[in-house]
Amino acid sequence: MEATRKETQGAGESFWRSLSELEQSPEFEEILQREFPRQASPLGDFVSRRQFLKLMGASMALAGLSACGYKPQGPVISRPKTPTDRTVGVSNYYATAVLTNGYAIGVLGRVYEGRPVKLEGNPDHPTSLGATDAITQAQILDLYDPDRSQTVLRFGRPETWRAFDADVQNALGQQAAKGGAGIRILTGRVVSPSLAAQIQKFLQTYPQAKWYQYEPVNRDNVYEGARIAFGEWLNPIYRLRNAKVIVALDSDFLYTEPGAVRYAREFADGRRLRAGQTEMNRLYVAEPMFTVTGMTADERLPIRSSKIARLLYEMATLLGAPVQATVEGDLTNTEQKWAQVVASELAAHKGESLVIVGEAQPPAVHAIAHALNAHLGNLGKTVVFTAPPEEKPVLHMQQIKQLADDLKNNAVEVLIMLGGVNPAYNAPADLNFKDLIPKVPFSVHHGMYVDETAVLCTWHLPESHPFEAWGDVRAFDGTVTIQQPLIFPLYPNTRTALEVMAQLNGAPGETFKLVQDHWKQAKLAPDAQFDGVWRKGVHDGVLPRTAKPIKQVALKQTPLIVQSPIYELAPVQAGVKTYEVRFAPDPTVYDGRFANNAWLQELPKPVTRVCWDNLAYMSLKTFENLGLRRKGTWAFFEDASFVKGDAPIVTLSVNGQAMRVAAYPIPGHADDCITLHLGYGRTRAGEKGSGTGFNTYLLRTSDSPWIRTGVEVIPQAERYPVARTEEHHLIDTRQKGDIHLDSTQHRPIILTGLLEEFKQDPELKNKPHRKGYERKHPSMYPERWTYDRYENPDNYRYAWAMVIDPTVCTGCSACVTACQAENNIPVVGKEEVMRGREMLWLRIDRYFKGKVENPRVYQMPIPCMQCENAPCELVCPVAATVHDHEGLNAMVYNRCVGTRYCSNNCPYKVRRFNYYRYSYMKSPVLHLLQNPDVTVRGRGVMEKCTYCVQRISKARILAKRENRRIRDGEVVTACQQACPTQAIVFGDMNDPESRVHLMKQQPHNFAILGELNARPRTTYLAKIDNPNPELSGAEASHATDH
Amino acid sequence: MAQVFRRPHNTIARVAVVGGLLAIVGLAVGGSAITRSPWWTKVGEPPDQPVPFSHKHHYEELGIDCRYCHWSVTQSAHAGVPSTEVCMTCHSQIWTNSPLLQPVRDSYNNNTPLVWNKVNNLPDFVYFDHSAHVNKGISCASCHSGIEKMHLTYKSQPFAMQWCLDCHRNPEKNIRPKEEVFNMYYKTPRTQEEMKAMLDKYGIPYDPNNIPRNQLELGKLLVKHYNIHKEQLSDCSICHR
Repeated sequence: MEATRKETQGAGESFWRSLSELEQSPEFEEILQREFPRQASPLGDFVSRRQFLKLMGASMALAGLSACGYKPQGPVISRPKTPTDRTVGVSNYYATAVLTNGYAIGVLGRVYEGRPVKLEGNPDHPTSLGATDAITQAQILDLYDPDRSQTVLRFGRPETWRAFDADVQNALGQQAAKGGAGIRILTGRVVSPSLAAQIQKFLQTYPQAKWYQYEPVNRDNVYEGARIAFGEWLNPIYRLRNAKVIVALDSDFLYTEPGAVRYAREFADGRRLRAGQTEMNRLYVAEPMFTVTGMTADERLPIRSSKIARLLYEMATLLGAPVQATVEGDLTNTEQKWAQVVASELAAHKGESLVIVGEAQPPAVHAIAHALNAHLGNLGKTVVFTAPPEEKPVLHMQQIKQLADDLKNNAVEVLIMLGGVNPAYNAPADLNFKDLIPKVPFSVHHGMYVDETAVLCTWHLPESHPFEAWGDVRAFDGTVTIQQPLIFPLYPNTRTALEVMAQLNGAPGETFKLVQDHWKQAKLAPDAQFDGVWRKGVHDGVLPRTAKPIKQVALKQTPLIVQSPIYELAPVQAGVKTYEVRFAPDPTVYDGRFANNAWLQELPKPVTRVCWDNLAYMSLKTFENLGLRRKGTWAFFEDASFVKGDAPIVTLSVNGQAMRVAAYPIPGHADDCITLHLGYGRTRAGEKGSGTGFNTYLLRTSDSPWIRTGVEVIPQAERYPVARTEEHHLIDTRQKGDIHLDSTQHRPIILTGLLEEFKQDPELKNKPHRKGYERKHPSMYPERWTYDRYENPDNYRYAWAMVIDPTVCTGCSACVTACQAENNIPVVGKEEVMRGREMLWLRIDRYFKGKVENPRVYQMPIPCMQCENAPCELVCPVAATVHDHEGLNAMVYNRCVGTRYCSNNCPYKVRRFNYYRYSYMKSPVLHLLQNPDVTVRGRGVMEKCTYCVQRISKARILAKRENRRIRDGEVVTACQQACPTQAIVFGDMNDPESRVHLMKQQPHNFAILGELNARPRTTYLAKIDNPNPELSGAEASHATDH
Repeated sequence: MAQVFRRPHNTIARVAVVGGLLAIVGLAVGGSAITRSPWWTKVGEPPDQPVPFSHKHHYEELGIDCRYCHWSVTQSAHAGVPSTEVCMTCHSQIWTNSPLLQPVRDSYNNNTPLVWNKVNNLPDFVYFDHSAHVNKGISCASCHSGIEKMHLTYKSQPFAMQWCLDCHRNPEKNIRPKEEVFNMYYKTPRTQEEMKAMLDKYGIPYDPNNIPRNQLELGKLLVKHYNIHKEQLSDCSICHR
């Protein structure tokens, strides 16, 4: 086994999807070869054969009768008044915004008959630019979450707002005499100008009261870094379109950092390769664990977080940047070389390069990066600075410490926690909020859930969802969006933080009036013009001239002397092997606030493809060194069914703090360090979120919230089941009987190349993928499909097609959640995912290539290919899947009897089967979420991507009504709409001017498994990398030559 | 030991075999006959309604256009039931004290919805769009035939898939000029002169040497003129998604 592994790694030639495949383990082989991997087994022990036959017999006999029942007709409801703003059956779109990564992202909410059903990006909003990320897409589910808090609670007993108002006035009244000295307000990061104004008004009434803000994932280091370099807190905004060379150090700027959706677009615009083009930007990433940014990198260096400063300082020194600091530690030869090469690249791209440092790195590292950017002439070109967009910028870790101190000193008599803050769960463990909160005589928690903090407080107040009330929020650049309500409040007893504050200020009012009055006072526009400006601002989703102005900055001294200590490293203890832990927000549930969102829970994490859990991610070498690997076999998992499969549990302990977590090896992770994602292990998140994963806040301290060293790892005897999706829907790449390849060769699913190769041969003809590809398949049947434009314009017919560009795909999975929201795709839960039954129509296949220590990653979103010669159609006994005249491989749910032959015959593994009644929702409130244009599928029905046929139908009917053709770009599929990098292009292939037609003409366009002659309508462009020949570039080009 | 089966049992066995087969066929035929019968499909049976609204009175006797109440029919998938505000545009002036209209007045005055019983129902997996039909020359009368004669509203068609497909495969049989869609008394012109006059009136181009003589010929002309892709109409994805 070891030998095979070495061999594979040495050659570095083939793609692998998981560690098991890299090792060619027998378990992997079995999954690959089985007809129904994992799916046929689970009836297993709880139904005997006799029982099964009895049930089958009965259901066969009764099957025919199920269609006979004549359904009652149901009611039709006449409204008393005709609404003037909508037509029955036609959706309206309203501009509003939600908070993602802590700042606003503008969205257009689709409202059908008074209920929001889908969010789309707002093209006018600076963060969104028309796209969204996965978390934004999923926030509509939070609105309908049945676990939302609905009533005011006092010590867990239902109460009324009136009782609360009386009680709080009483408590505040006692404080009035001492100026509110005992009052503390705790909020999250406040990016709402009107809320901040209300809080300030409260603080004027009670001048001794204090307002603290706390977010577990915050910008402290960024602002402090700017203060060291420029003398004030500043918010960097990157202009990635101007950057040819981007160096990201421990930074996930394409996914988790504020503005990521916009940055992803700007970054992608610099590397969209089309015929004849030879330029693309180059991304260098140094980071401990793969992030979305790291997976997209051209050159990546796995490195512990605590060595980033050294790496950066090395580059700064090599370039002669005006900065002086004491940075300890030394670099390995590889890291040294990396720093040298990157430094020379930066030197060659002055004014068009950019060094980005992540939020987790300490302020000093940010300061060094600012000095370096200044030295390279990047300031004002690839990075600009504004004042922080928050209403009151603070250092969150300091604030929560101060609050903890106040609580310890019994200085707090009234504690008001607004907007769903949850310190009992997410405050650093050393502050011990769980024990501090009950000490407060009068504590109030206001939030959407009765969470860990709520149960410790005197009062719990239910919060409205932002879609139920008016509000205002700022984006990462300061732009204000007025949040419009999309629905009448689902529960009458909920209030927003703004309403609660207005009530405390003695001036309660409707949210609309509160928000509008604030902007009238803030002089949004002269009084005479206010109404027009306001209306336009609300309609567009962007208030004009609210972005923070760009500041001219200069280093406060030259050379910049960085004095602050960089990392607080634990002393080395002799004889004890310790590890470094890096905390990061979870890619889907973020800091834990979305833990009860089933869409986000079930979304395979962009990097690990694991869902419903967070794990202790580490390199394979560390995993082996810890003795976690089983002897004799690869056997990371016990059996191929994966139901019992599991990851070993370890205990992480440092300075008396300890936590249990399952260890999981990830390729490309830096050695001797562990990445922990925040946001799991919640106890009171709700039905879905509670009890999933491990609470990593237990190991976090207020002094070292991001990087913790000196952590001991103690393996335990337990094992933990993990829902890994990386080995689901496998396609065997060894083409038996393929005359163009010998039996050991693979024909990779993905076509990849380097920029150099693309320049010489844009078609990449010599790649194994292309071997035998040009072969015409002889057939006696006439061509069924013709691509030629119809001669008779009256008989014009559309040919829907899609092209996906993996070169710009970051694997962020926004498309997957968008598809789920649009197509009423059910969630199946962790157990069912482990059986390979996740229902997501669109999956993202992730391939590694190269050494396990630092592989290259390739991403491919895989929807239904809509094959012209669709293999699934031939085998359906009831013609439930058939072609239509526009080339769609239609799926007729009401005709499907569930033989699953189609799924078996699908070479791309894109069909999903309802083994149970997954779409059943016991809470009626969730029925409001369903897209009315898409059938809700029952048990025993096959389903799959339909290219959003409902959107095509809508456009077709509109075009027919207006007696014209559907315009290019009129039909936008849900995945395409959400894609931050515009990697997905959809349209009419028959239209020679359509974007999709132009994409199909690209030389590097290819079809997956094209040699099968299924003629998929979905094709891909080759994934082109731009590595540096001095680093992995040489190796990479050698590796692909085989 | 005496024989268990005696001679008469042969007859019983034969009858049972034949009868069993006949019973299966009979059940199938009978079952399908029953499920197609108006007794089962409720064609012609007006359901109870809170207000005995008469289409005959409003459309035929008073001449109110369909779109006065069902105004969204040209823009939306749904024709829509009118709000009680629409009823009250007239009934605030006439029949203001009629006890029959009390629920309408209550709804309007108290701002409470008026709940009717659905007459025509399609399964949830069928996506019918009114606007796509009425804008392309398929009249209300094609599906809701006889509505102008109904005092109490009932289903005039069972809305079985076969019946939908019949028209989707041969739209010529039912298509008429768009301008006549809301005219429940429209008849296909009988003579070529009438046909010519109608085509001229609506500006529909035709070959003067080959003026359509009957509905089928007119239908072919209109299908072409309205740019209807007939072959596409029976695609599954047109109605099911």
